[in-house]
Amino acid sequence: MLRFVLAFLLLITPAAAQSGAWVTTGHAESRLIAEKTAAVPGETLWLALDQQLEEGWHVYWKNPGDSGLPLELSWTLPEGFEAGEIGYPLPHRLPLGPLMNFGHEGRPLFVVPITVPVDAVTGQTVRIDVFAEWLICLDVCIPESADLSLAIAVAEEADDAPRTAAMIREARSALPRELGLEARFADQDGAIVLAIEGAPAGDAYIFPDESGLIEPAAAQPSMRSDEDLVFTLTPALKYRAAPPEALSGVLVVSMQGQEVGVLFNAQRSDEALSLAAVPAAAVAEEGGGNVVLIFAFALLGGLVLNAMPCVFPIVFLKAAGITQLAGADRSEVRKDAYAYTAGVLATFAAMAALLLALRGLGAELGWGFHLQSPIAVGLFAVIVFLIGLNLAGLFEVGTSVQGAGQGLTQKKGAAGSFFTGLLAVLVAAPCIGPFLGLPIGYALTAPPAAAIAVFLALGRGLALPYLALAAAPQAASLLPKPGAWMVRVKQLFSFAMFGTVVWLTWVVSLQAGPQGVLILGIALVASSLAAWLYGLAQEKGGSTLLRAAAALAIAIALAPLFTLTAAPVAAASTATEKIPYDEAMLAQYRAEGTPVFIDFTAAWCVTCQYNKRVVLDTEPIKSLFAETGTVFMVADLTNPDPIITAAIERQGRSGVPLYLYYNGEAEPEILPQILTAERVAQTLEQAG
Amino acid sequence: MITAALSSLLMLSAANAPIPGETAPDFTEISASGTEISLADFAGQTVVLEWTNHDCPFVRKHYNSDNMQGLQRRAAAEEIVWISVISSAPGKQGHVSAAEANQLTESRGAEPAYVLLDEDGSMGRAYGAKTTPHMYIIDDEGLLRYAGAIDTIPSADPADLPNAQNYVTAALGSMADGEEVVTSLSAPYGCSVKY
Repeated sequence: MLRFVLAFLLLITPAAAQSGAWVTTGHAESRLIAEKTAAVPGETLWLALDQQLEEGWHVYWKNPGDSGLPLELSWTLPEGFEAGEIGYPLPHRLPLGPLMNFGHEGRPLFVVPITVPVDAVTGQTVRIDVFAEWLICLDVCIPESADLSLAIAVAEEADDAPRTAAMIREARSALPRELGLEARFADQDGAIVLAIEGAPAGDAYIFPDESGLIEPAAAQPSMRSDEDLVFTLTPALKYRAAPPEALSGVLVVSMQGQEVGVLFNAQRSDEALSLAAVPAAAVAEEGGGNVVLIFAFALLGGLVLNAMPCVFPIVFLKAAGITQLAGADRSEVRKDAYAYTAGVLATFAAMAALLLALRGLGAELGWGFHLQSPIAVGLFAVIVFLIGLNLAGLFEVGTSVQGAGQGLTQKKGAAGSFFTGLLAVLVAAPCIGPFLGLPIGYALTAPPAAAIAVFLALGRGLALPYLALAAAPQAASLLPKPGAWMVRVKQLFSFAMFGTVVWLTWVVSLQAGPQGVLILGIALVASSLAAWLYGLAQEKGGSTLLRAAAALAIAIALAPLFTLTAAPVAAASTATEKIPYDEAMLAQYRAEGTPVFIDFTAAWCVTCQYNKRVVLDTEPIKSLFAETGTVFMVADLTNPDPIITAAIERQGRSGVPLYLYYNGEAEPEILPQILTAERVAQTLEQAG
Repeated sequence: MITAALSSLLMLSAANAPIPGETAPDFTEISASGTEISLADFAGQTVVLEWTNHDCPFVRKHYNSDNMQGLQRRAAAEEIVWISVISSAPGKQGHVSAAEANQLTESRGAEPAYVLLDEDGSMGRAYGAKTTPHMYIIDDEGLLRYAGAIDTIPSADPADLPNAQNYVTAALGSMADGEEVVTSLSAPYGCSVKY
């Protein structure tokens, strides 16, 4: 029927039209238009499907994204005429819940080149028919189709068709361009790192040609590194099942409100496209741009760590150790400081080596990774508890101890100081303090030797105050004369240890649930029994029986800890208006221009908890979030999460806390690791 | 905070959806007949998951032509557990109550073993289900063997059915013969899942 009507219309308007009649379907109007007034033998005639879509509805790009179907055109052409590929307008991102589509809204023009044969007979009018099928969606989808037709003269010469020539030319000039850009990609830490050389500057987005390779809804953080525009992309199923050798698509860059599409065809790179360039770029932004600065930051950051809430328990422990130096001679003070420093450095080096090795094996881990295991946290709690009991005087450490009373004058040995250093690092590790984000971020992507050097600089910073003591051992003589006060101070500091145990128990409760707390509680009781028995053995002058009983008790304490497994439990969320980290939603909010604050946090990160209690969860800040319409996203790293780890690394960082604020800019604002209400308010009010 | 962490895992799992050869994620959802159904219930059996939305034209193509029901009948005959999953959120297209789901099954002559009502989309996200239909096959050892489209011709036109090769039929055939599934992953086509 439709064909008949069209044919009829063509019959009564025998002159070639250059634009076919509009055909109305459910949610679109469509027609076929031509650039020229005639088809010239041996030349290319550009046609276009001109669609006017209903407001809010969209059709799809050649790669439709998570769902949808691209346009299909079935041509019926005169003898010898040939239709080329569809030239799609630049795609747009069309988010739909957690999914993402690529498509077109408004009035898309799909251009198609038609090759006119050399032997086409001039002087006649030919008919070009196309059966067009497309899927049009709001949130619901409707397949539509239309028979479209166009009559055009075949002539030796052709003029621009009025109106339609300009439309088609504009559409053709907006097609993605082949600029011959060098592009390469590599897999890194579960992400695809795509580097496009000489890409134009601007807000950029990658639309892959093929579906199933890049997760359409995932954010595409990008940064500039020398001549390259470097994207971090999330691989989709097909990519993960069979990593391809080539990756092609369209890079769409918007510059001053103008969108430009550039074709790229990236080849897999043999050498890893190390993102070492990324932190380097970040350093450059912060002013220095050289390795010296990274080491300086590491040293300074290590020093400042001593004042971070997470290291407090160890500072108390160390202080308890220092008080025992009262009346000690200088060589002993030195020995103690060196032993502590050695403990710090050895532990840093060992942990860095372990972390780098695990990452080399493909694990998505950041600094502080060991506290993501409830077993490690449980063991840690037992150790800290035993230290507390030791400080409280339940038992003594050391082989030469014959009676508890002698503990008064018993100097803590070098081994004890070394152990304190070890503990300081284990506790400090989950904390990223001021200045540390950059060096640790750098270390994780740098070659192993450089990475370990950075960690050692950090350790030196952490140990610096005590090294200073070694340099000036006479300072220890400022301490009061040895006496009963030393025991009292130790006992007092034991409470800092017990406080730490409470914190660690809370972490276990979040990681392993009530069952985990029960197991840890049993372990704590059994270990205190062991400590008591051990203390008794010391009093009795080393009774073998009691020591065996103590060993048994400690075994009973530790064995069940290894059954702890990460089993997140549902706990009542007290936070208001906070939403979990979601890259698709983040992309959507950013596209909408909605300000977003992201809190990268973890239960085991004391600094994070401090910021939460003191700043983020306070009424004035909460109401400021509401007033400014800022979305509060929580990226929780209490248990391992590769996506959150990757997101942190994209900022050139490697651990929590990290606070990001997006407000229309391509790059987020990074807030300091120690928040103040004023600082957060200042950021949030930008959107006010 | 933990609920936030949990739901963030749910939200983000689309990018962690299993690929064929990996262990299929476990799920526990309420079926239209009111029972709780878990993947673990079907250890030792082959399970087919079909994401569906009765108002989606692509789903209608396969139901109005009796194509989907044919697959379901064959599966039932071969003691394969066919599970239709509705992940449409309340208020979105395709969302149904248990009674409506049963009514749909009856009126369409469908024969799934179970229809699951995944209102919060957790199961859909765990599997990375993107379209309706989106098909998954899990073998007797709990490994995912196929994920993707129902057949080779992405369209909503029933006239394309005779020319299309059905991926699910092919995969089940290979599995019955103890062979590797030839096409274990394809790009799903259809309406978006209405999370």
